[in-house]
Amino acid sequence: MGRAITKDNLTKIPLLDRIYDGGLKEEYQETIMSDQAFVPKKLEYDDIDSAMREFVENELRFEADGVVFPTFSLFSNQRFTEYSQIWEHTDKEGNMKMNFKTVIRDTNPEFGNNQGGNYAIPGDRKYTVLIRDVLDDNGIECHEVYTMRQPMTVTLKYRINIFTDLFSNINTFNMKVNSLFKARQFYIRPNGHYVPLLLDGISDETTYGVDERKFFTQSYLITAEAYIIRQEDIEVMRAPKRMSVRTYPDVKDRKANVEVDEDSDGITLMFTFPKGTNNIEFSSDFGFRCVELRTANVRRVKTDLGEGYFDITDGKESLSFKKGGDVRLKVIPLSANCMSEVVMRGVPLDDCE
Amino acid sequence: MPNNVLTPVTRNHKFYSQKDFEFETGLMADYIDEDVGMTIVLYQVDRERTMTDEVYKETGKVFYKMPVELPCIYDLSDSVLKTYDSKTANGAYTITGNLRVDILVQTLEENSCEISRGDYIGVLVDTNRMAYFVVVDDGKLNTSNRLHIGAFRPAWRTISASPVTDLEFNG
Repeated sequence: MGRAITKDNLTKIPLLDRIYDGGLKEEYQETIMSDQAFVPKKLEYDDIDSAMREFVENELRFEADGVVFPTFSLFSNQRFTEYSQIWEHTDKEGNMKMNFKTVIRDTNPEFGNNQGGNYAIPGDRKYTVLIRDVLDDNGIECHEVYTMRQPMTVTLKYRINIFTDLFSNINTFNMKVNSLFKARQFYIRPNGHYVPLLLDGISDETTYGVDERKFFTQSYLITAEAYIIRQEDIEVMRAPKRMSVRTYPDVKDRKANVEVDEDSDGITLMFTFPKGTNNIEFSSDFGFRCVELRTANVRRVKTDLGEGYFDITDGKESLSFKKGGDVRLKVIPLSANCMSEVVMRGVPLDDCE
Repeated sequence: MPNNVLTPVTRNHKFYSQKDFEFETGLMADYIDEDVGMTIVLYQVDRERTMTDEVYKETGKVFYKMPVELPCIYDLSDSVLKTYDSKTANGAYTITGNLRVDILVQTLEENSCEISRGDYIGVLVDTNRMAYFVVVDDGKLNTSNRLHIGAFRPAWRTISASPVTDLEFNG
């Protein structure tokens, strides 16, 4: 029989009919794509190869005795590829100096597992990603329709080799690689796309011989579970608005606003941030020192007077600016679906203060 | 295996003696030194001063005894073209062929030196160029008939050495 649990020891699950993270998730939804392009950038083999080389060069940067191991990418079979890279790293005989890394890719990428091995929808049709209104050069308002094909998944197999003359170097590099992949995956970001890398295996490629030159070669097989978006997969079309049979929500003026109210007690600044806006910038024609700050639907208030943003929410630092000063105010709303308000009560600030 | 008790060699004693052996060895030493004129430079590793890593016994800085120039007959094999990556044949490099040195035991005794595995050998290839090698077979086991003189005693040692890069040894 199980032991009876008293009521006090039960874990109470907060089954509330509201978001208890203060609207943070909704805020992410609003802001995560801000300042981003309307459609994803292209992602082709050369983009991934380039990111892979950067990965080997930066994430697997290796240094011994103050000398950084150079990285050579030997994707091509052309002799010039190799020679053009090693010119700076050769000895007097023109051979590559020992201690370096190489990155090579199998030339035969195959259908990939990025989407769990699922195939794309047949038909190769283009899907609408975004429709936005634009004003044409001749003054006609149009719909700009962004469409793209479904990406195709590929698996790219890379081989990273390290060549060194010391066992201790092999040890350190091996630990570095295993540490990077201890959570199974490591991500590279070619053109802003997250491509997972998996460590498939590590093998010893050293040639052992009693009367041969001795050095260590360790090989790391890394798989990139990628997808490909070709330039031609993305298409932007313009459609005159009158031809549209679709309906769209009204686009309201979503600019933040500030109102100034002056009375005998001082100055009141009332900032209003409609849904979807979170910052305002203005030049003041009077000096002002904030004494009291009140907010509605605001998590944090930050301001910038030209030297970077600082937080004034808790009142530890207060806003104070002179006549003619440029002021930036940024709020982080509690709920991204509602309007936010900031009211500042303060006193005039003379130029000499 | 050498032992401390010296046992006289009586092979071929009716026609050959220690004096004959010394005479012929002397002739060969003169021939190599004066006529052939081939020499190698021996860089003996100072095993007492050279420190090694505690775990892997790898060396950072190697100390050497005073280099010795030794008359001998050597044979340098052809240079070899190899690749670092054997799968794709990328990363090509050329390396000097292996070195084989035939040297008289008497020469080593006269110069009070010993060639051991891991020592380095330099060969003057051109007026301004040396090639360096590491000894992989020091030829101490010179028991074959080929290395005997007058079927009496071994007089030669054949040393095998592999080429090294500047990173490992550069004179």
